[in-house]
Amino acid sequence: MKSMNRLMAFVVTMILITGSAARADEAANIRKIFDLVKPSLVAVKYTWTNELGSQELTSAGVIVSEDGLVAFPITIVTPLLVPNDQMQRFKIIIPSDTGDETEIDATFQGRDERTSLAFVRPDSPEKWQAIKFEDLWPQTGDPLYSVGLLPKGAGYKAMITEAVMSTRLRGPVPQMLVSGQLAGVGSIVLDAQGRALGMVHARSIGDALLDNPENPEDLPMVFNPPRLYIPAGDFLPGIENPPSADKPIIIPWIGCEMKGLEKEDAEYFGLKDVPSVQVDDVIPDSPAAKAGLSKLDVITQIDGKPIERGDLPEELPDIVVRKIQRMNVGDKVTFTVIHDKGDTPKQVTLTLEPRPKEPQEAKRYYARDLGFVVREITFVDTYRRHAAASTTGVVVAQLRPQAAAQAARLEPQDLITQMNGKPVLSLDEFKKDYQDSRRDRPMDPLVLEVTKLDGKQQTINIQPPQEDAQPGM
Amino acid sequence: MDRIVLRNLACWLALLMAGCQTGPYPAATPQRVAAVTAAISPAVVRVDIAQAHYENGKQSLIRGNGSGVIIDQQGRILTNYHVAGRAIEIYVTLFSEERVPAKLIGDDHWTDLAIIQMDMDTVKKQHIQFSSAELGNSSAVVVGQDVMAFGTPFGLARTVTRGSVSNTDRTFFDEPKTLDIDGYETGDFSNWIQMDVPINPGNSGGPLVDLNAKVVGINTRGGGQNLNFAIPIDTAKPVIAAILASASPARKGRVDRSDLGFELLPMHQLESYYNIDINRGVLIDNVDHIGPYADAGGQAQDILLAINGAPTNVRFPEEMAAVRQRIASLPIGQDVQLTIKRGKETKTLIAKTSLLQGFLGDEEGFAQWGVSLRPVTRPFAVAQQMDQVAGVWITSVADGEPVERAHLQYGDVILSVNGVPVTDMAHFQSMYDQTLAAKLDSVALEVERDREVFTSILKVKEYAPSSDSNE
Repeated sequence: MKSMNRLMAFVVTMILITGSAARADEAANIRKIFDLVKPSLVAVKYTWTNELGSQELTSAGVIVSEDGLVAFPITIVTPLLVPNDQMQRFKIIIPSDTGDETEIDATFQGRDERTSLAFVRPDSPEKWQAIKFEDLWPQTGDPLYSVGLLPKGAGYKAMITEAVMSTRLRGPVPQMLVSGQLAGVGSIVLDAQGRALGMVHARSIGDALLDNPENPEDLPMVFNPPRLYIPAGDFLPGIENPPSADKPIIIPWIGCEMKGLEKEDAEYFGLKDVPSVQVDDVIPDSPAAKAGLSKLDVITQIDGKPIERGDLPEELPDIVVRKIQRMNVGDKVTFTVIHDKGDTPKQVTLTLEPRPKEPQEAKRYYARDLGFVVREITFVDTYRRHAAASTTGVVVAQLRPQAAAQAARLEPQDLITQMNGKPVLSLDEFKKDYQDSRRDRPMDPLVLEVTKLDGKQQTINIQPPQEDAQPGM
Repeated sequence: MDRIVLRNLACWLALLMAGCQTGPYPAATPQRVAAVTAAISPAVVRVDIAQAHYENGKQSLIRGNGSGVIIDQQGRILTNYHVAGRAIEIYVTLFSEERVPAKLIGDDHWTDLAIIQMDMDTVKKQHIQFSSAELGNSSAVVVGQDVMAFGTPFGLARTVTRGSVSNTDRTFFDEPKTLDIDGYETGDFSNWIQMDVPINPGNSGGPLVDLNAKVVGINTRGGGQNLNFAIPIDTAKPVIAAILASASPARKGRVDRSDLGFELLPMHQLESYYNIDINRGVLIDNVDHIGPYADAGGQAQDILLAINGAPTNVRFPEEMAAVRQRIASLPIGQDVQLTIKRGKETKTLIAKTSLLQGFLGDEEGFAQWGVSLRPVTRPFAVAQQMDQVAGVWITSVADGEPVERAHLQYGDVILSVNGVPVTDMAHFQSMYDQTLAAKLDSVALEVERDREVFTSILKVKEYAPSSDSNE
């Protein structure tokens, strides 16, 4: 009996020793990962300056090359549709455990909406410690670690969290769901070997900021931690081929609207279990129109391969668009198409063209004294109004609250087609005519003919403010 | 002779003698107010209604109440559209406190008026007495004159309020949003009487009377404070005539009007810009892309100078309703001569008027598909920037039933059914009936949503509600 007890005691002791040794190893490993990643974490700050004011925005960033290229989530840029030249005074903020953080001047390189990353580069050359992402998918149950920064209110302190790979979600953007918690937007996700597998991405704008002006004390990643990350495979091509100030990314397009076929619709077309999209609208003169694609055509394959399945039919058009967007202008893409059930599939080959200019890429002009900002007309402005692509005019981008233009019920998105009876042919001409008219006839109303978003025309009569209308002011 | 009739006679006599004052604007002496009250009250009714309404693809009833005024001895009652319009069940409560069923003769949302008919069999069978009110002339109403409002605010028993006319020509044209009643346009063709007589919910449809006990308006909008509005009785008279002339047992009465398919703007502060004399013409601000004026070659920013030679001058918003009314009363489907100024040129365009339609057509339910629909009207097609006026559009869907299962939603336009283009609601109804009769498993719809057109398959058999649900 005695020996038996001794044996038991020995076994129990051994278990205790190995257990605590394993935990000690694990803790050391976590510290190693944390120390490895920490030097590559920075914050990116810029001043968003528009006609009506300015604001500082700060986001988490990751150093991705040894010459200091920093990638940061586009979340804080794109949803606001901020034009590039309104983003000024970029700074890279390097946190410090012992002293104040350091701010380095930097230059914006551009954004890549295909990977939802924007890039910034330090102005002073220096050698940096970069993160190397790897295109690896963890297995369900694998331990994961996430290292990121806390907001300015917590001194940009680095933090690490622990999680377990749960499952992969299908959709236009692949996402990995974890059990446990990840650090904030822009933080890096690593496996137990310290390999960088992905990045925490896109949440709501407030959650993505490291210095939320509305609530500087807020620590969203602590009290409402993310549980999804984007695997590196999705954004690695973007890091390998980043945009630069003189080489922006040109996104290709095909020029048609699509809708994912529901299960019932697919069966009707004899396409059971074949992810397919239906062409809902073809934009005149687009690659789709030139190739002869037409409304109600059903696309079943791209370049001879099935369309990747989403979790929902609604996701299929985005999956197709993202696939196209990762090709290059001038590339050819072949769709397998039927129009009616029972049709023999035909092959339609399109040549990709650059996507039309987006509103945030358009030049702007601030009509300061009457308080409105206009920009060049772009494709979406004519498309939404069912107007010809050749329509000319300028579009109201912003209104100063309480100013004369707003009082006259001019609204954002109004398309100005005429000013004082003269057709508006370009932004430059509008600017010149506007300045002439305000200088020569400051007391006269400014009469604008506008087309609303719903296609209705309206005459807007802006009465100049009395005090500003004095000559010489 | 019946007691009530005698009492009415006595009232009128009292009215004649009250203060012995004659003329159009008698003073509101206590005797006079009491006499007017006694004369009008027996012609005022409380109106309780139920309106059909579709929600989640199913019909349900909305109940409400308001006021009305009996306008003749046949038991016809004038009230507001927003009280009794589209009603499928009506009861009126008379001065004698008797409750009598009634039915809708006809309605007109543009002027917010409706006429209902008391069930005269009930009235005779139960020997119910009532009197009718005399309609006056709202053109003679002047600012400052005393007036009285009758009605049943908040469903209370007969109530009389008193005050004076604040404005005889009130327009709502300047409001950023056009007026509507549950989405039905209203107030385009007349100005309003504004008065400080308190009007509360439930007063709607009751008469506004002068101190000669003549009806000069129908109380319509107010908030119980001192800013309240009535429809002038001169606006109501032709509407009453048109509804009564067009009503039949099969179809409710209506007012047909002409439309040219444009929107107008007063010229005030635009005269020098358009280089035109003060008080001349009206600006055509917007031209519907489908419509008579577009067909005639009209453009936005044309200035309309005359219709069939008669000038159309609108300098101020108050003058707008009269010109709209002129257009509305043109013969429908006939050529009119429009004199316009475009730039420096003056020219004549010939346009063929069309029947005025509202944005909303009549709503109908299709229970086996779990959907309610309205026809695509010209204004709907214009607002949605559609290429043509065709199809029916979805106003609500029932959860779990075929249309909802096919992921269709509010605002989607059904363009075709099994490849056959939908022309109007009756045509749609017949195709719907055919698919049910043929017991089809599935139906292919062509659907327009915003600019996009797609195919949608309804699994009719699989997802239809059980047959005992109400159609």
